[in-house]
Amino acid sequence: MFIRNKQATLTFQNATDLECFAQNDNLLAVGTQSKEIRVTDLKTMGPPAGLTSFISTGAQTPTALAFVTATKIAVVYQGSSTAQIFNLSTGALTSLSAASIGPKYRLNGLAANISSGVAFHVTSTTGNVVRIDSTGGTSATLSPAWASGKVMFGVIHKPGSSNFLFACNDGTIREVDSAGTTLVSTITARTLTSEVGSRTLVPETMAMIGDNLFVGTTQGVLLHIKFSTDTLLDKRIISRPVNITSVTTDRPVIGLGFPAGNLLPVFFPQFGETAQNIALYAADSYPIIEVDSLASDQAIYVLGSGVNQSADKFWVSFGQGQVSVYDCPCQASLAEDTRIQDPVGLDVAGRILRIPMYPGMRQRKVESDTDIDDEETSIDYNLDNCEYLEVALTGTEFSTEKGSARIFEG
Amino acid sequence: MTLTYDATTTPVTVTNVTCMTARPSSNEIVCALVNGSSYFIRRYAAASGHAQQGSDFALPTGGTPVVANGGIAMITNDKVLVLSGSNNNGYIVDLSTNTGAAVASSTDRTGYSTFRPQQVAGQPSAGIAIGISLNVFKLCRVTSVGAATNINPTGSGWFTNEFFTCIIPKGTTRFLLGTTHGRIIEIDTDGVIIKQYALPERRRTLEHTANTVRQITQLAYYSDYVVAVTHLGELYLFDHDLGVVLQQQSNLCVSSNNGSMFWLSEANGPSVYTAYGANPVIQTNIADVDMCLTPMKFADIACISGAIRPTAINYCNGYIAVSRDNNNIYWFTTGSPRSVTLEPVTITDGASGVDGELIVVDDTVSPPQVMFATTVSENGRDVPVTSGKSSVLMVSTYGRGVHRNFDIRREAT
Repeated sequence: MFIRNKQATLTFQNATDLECFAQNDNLLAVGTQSKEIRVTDLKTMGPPAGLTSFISTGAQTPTALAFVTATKIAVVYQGSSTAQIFNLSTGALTSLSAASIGPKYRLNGLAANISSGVAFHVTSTTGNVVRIDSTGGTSATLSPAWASGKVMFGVIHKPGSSNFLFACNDGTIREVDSAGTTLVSTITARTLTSEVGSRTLVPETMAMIGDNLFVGTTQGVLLHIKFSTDTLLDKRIISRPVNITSVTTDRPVIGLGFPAGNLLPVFFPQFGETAQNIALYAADSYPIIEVDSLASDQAIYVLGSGVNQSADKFWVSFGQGQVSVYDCPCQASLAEDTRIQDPVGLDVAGRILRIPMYPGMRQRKVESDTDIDDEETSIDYNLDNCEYLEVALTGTEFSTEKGSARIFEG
Repeated sequence: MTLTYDATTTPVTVTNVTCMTARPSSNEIVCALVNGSSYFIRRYAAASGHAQQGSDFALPTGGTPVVANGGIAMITNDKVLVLSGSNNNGYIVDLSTNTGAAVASSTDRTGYSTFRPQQVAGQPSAGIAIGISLNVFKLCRVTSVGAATNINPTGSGWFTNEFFTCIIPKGTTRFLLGTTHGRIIEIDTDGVIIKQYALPERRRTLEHTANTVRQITQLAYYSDYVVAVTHLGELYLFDHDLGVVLQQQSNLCVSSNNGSMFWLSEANGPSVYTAYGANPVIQTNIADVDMCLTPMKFADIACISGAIRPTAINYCNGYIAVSRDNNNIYWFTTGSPRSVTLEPVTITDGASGVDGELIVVDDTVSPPQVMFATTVSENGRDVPVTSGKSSVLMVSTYGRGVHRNFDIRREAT
């Protein structure tokens, strides 16, 4: 199991729904209907040392949060055209210049590049996005040519780049520069055959791990796309379709949480009629592998979730003013020494395949394929909560080839 | 396989379809239809044009009315059994002569619930069909001549309030049952229990420790693999030999006790999987899922406007027929059925077969791909093989802990 040992229940002021979440390093920020923002250190389960952990947002309920630097959080309010910056170092809450009003319920309604302090949020006005410059203390509504005629249902920062990805209601995903004006690339719309012709899958939530882009659509279909080539690697039905039209009133159909390592939380942000399931996917595999899951047998919302690599934690909010935090070891790169000897005592060169033994035999993938010399060699692996099958091969296929194997505890 | 809407035909206007089944021997879809309070049987070609085959057969409305919403199944290649969901009546219609006869009386075949799929299953080669009951542990066995027998298989550890919820044929002589308490049971045509196992424990959050009992709402079987879906939105792939879980997927929305998703499988054909939502449903997604891949893969997804009844969808001869409440049947083509070559594999320790695990890797590509992984019982199992590769690497493991053993070999394909 990847999700283990519940560590804490973070309880906020009252049992109302939590509104929005942001995560950076080991910090989790939560915006609540009690009109406040609270920050928790997931390593200590307490307030972050040396930083402000709480602020009242006055008369407004925060509806989207994003870390714009390690110690600053951008805050957006539904029904308000003024975004703010919460400075955790000083405790100050500073208003930016007014722009278009922000989203509500959108899990990817606001996104920031923590390296540059630039953030974008979506808004209900067709053709518009809002750019926040936290360094300059400004926000501005943009109507770039690439956005013409489109409503953006979500935005994420593209990891390892200064660009942002916008989920558009025409089915495309647009990669845009940090100015918000230049279209860099386009992920094409995907369709389903139907009795009324092709139906476009409308993207609204996104998560990106390496070159893997995961897209939640309003039709309940999850897409796994190799971003660099716009190749559809996998698609699967994981939810029911819902007619989503508004970024200020509609909750998404497929919730994609904060990923870490190769783990991606996936959940249903809409009201569950009988129960709720939340799944944890191995995001570097296709077809997609579900490595763990949790369930609630109450008819409630799943409001947010994430994997925190810095603190090795998994967290989920099923509403009711609470966030549950679990252990979830998820280091992205560990190392295990190996060698091949034939006969025992004589090191030889060969090839090492490593297969993580995810729960369930039909969930297998080759994680690495490494040629090694005739000496002890350190090879990285991804999961420290999982057995690995290591296969060593020497010689030439069918003629001198020999194979051996071992299991090691990740 | 690629799903394509069959736009060459105009949707066939009929009265409401209550349930449908496939008649593979004649490449037909057999439907039970309702028009007001009248029920009748109609057949359509599972072929281009989808013409109606023969004449409608009206089910009796007086005396012993058959409310044809309890389930339908082929009991022989020519005879179809239709059961009432609201009473214990049943009727057998001979499609070759368009004649029918009532099934002898029985008290145990109302089905677990109306408009649920898999409430009755047939074994045409044996001339037997079995329907499930609203009574605990009760089934109704029907023969092709209309004789009905109540049978009540019981097993150790079953709950006193445990009901059968669904039934499907397995091979040509067996059936698989699901229960309200997450149990999967294999029986023979006389109701004798051959094997049983249960779902694994459900992992709940600590805040919400309510009911963990899960109904199995549908089953699928192929080559000793069983797919079970539950009313709480879980999908499990089992090794039926060993009764162990090989793969799990959680459906995110859990919306009704009728099951938040459902699944229909034809042996070595497409598996149809849809997420079943609460009203208003803007569309229903339909997938072809390849059970033979590791992990299972959604080969293609199509959709249809609005909601469909899970009883009103079936597959035959490369066509999926779907009906919803607007009086139409829509057809999707699936292309040619998957061609899967199965090869028997046994893991041995000395001369004896042992329980173990097998991973087949194509390491001729970069990065290497796991082509298939599975558990293997001591009796061996058939595994799908892929031709066209110069070779594959087969890694077998068996034993536990320090007694784990490995066998690595390269096989030409």
